Amino acid sequence: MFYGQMEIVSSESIRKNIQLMVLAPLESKMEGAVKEAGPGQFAMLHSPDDSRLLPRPISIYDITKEGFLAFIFALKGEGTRRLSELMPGSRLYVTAPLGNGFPLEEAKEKKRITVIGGGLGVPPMYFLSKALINSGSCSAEVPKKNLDIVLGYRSESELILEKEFEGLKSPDSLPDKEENGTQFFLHFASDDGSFGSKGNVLDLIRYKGIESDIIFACGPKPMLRGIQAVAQEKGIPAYLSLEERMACGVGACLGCVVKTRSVNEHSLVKNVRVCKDGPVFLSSEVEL
Amino acid sequence: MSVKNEAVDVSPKLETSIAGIRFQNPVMNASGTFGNSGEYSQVINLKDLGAIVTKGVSMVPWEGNGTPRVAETPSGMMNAIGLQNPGVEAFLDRDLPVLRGFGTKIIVNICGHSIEEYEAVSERLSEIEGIDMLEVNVSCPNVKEGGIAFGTDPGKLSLVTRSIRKRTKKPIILKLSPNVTSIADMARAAESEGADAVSLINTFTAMKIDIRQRKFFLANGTGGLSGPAIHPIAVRMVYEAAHAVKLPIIGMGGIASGADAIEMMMAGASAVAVGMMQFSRPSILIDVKNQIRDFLIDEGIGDIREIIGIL
Repeated sequence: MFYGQMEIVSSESIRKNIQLMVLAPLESKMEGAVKEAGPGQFAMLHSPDDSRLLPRPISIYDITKEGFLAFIFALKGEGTRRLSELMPGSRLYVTAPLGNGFPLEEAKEKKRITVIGGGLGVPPMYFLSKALINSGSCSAEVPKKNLDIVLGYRSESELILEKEFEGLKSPDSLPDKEENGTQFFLHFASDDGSFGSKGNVLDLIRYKGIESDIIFACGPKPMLRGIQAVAQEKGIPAYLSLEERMACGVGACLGCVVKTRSVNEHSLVKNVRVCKDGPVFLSSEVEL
Repeated sequence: MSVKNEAVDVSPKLETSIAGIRFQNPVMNASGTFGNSGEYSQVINLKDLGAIVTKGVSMVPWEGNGTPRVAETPSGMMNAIGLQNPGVEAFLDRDLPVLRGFGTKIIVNICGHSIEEYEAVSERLSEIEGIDMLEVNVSCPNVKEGGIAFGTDPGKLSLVTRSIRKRTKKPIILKLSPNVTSIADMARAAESEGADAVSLINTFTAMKIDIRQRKFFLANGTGGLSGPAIHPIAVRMVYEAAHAVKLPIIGMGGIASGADAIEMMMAGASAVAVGMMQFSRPSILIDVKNQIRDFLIDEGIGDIREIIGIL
C-alpha cells in the first residue's frame, strides 16, 4: 500500500455520467503502487475538495503500457462529480493498491474459467481478463483452457468497454494467445435485448450452456446473489468482488463490513472488511 | 560547525504530559480511526506519534451495526460502526504486541454494555505491561446499551468513573460526549470520582436521509458526526471543560491542521487527537505535528506547554 501524489494524464466522459481517468505516478513510490497493483484491487482517490473529505474507492480498470493507473467510475454523487471536474495536469493523492484482488492462482488448474461483469462491475473484469489471457496460466496438467467472458448491461445505451474487450482478441493485446492455449469467448447480454442476448448474465449462461470450473464476478448485488446460488448448486468456486460504503479503505475503521456465514477468525464475529479482507470473497463465505 | 549544533537546540520542545505520563509530542489519533494493528504503518512512522489510541475494546467480541455504517457529509462524515471489536483477549494476544512494537505510548479505549463490562475490561487491563492509559468510552452514540447512556447523565458518569477507578491501576481518561447541555458538568463528574484526564469531544448524534429511497442513510438510523464541520464547537467545549476542572484534557473534534491543534491547546488541551481527517489524509498525524513545530518556531515559542490554556 502506497500513499502519494499522482497526476491526471487524461480524464474524459466515456458515456453519460461515466468517467475514464488515467493517473501517472509523480513520486517514485507510486511507481511501486503501479507495480504491485493486480486485478480486483482498488485505489482510494483523495479529493482535493475540502468539503468532500472522504476518499473514493475506485477499482483499477487497467494498467496502461506507459505504467499509468486507469479508472472508470460513475458520477454518483458530489464527490465523484468533483473528481471528474479535475483537469488533466491536476494532481491528487492516491492510496493504492488496496484490497486482496482476484486470486489468479485459483484459476491455474481450472479448465473452464468464467468471468462475469455487470454494469459498473465491468471495468475491473477487463484488468482480470487481460491477466488471465496473458498470464500463461496454462500448465502441463491443463494445456488448454476456455475463458468465457460474460458482460451484462441494462441496455445498449449503457454499454461500456465492449470495444476494449473485443480488442483483447486482436493479436496486439494478445501476443501469447497461441502459445498459452487459452480459448477466449466474449458474450454480451442486455436486460432489454438492445445489445447481445436479451436477459441478464445468468440467463445468457443458462441459454448458451456455458459450464465453469471457476467463476470470477463483479456487479450489482442481485447478479452476485444469482451467481452465488449457481456456484452453490454446482459446487464450484465463485469469487465475487463486493462493494460497500467505505471511509478508510485500509481496514482501520470497520465501516465497510459484509456478513459472513461463520465467525471470521480475525474479527471473531460474523463480519469481514470489504476493503482489507476483500473486496473479493469466495461466494460460499459471505451473506449477500 | 558548532553553529549548526546550536541551530538544532532551538527546535521547540513538543513534549507534553497527562496524569504523569510523558508524551514526546501532543499528537495522537482519535480512537476508532486508526485500526488496532498498525494499519497506517506503511504510510507514516508510528513511533513519531505522541501516542496510539486503540479502537474500543470490550470484554467479549461485539458484532457492531449493519451497513451502511459510514456516510460523507459536508466537511465531515457520520459513522455508526457500533464498536465492532474482537474482545479484550484477542486484543491482548494479537494487537497489543504489534502496537507495542511501534515504540510509542499506548492508550487503550475501553467500552461496555453495562457497568459490569466496563469493570471487567478495566480490571483485565489493569496490570498489563505496555498499556500507558485507559480511555473510557462513555460517549459512543451508536450502541444501544452502555456507551452514550453513561456519558450524557452526570450521575451515571460519576458511577462508571467510580467503578472503573476501583478496578484499575492505570490512569483513566473519560471520553466525553458533546451531546449534553453542559460539558462542564460532565467534566466535573469525571473529576470528582477520580478520573485522571478527560478527552473531548466524541461525535455529535446526527441523521442523514436518502430522499430518493425515503429512508435513513445509515443502517443504524442515526450516526456520529465528526470532521472539520464540528471543529469550532469542539474548541468551545474544550474551553468550557478547561475552565471547569483542573484535569488535563485531550482535545479532539475535526482537527485538520497544526493551526487547528494549536487552537485546541490554547483553549485548554494538553494534547490533541486527530480522527476523521485520518481517512482524508493518511499522513495527517505527522503533518499536524510538523505544523505545530513550525508554528512554535514562527512565534518564537520554545515549549509547547507555554500555550496550553492561555485563553
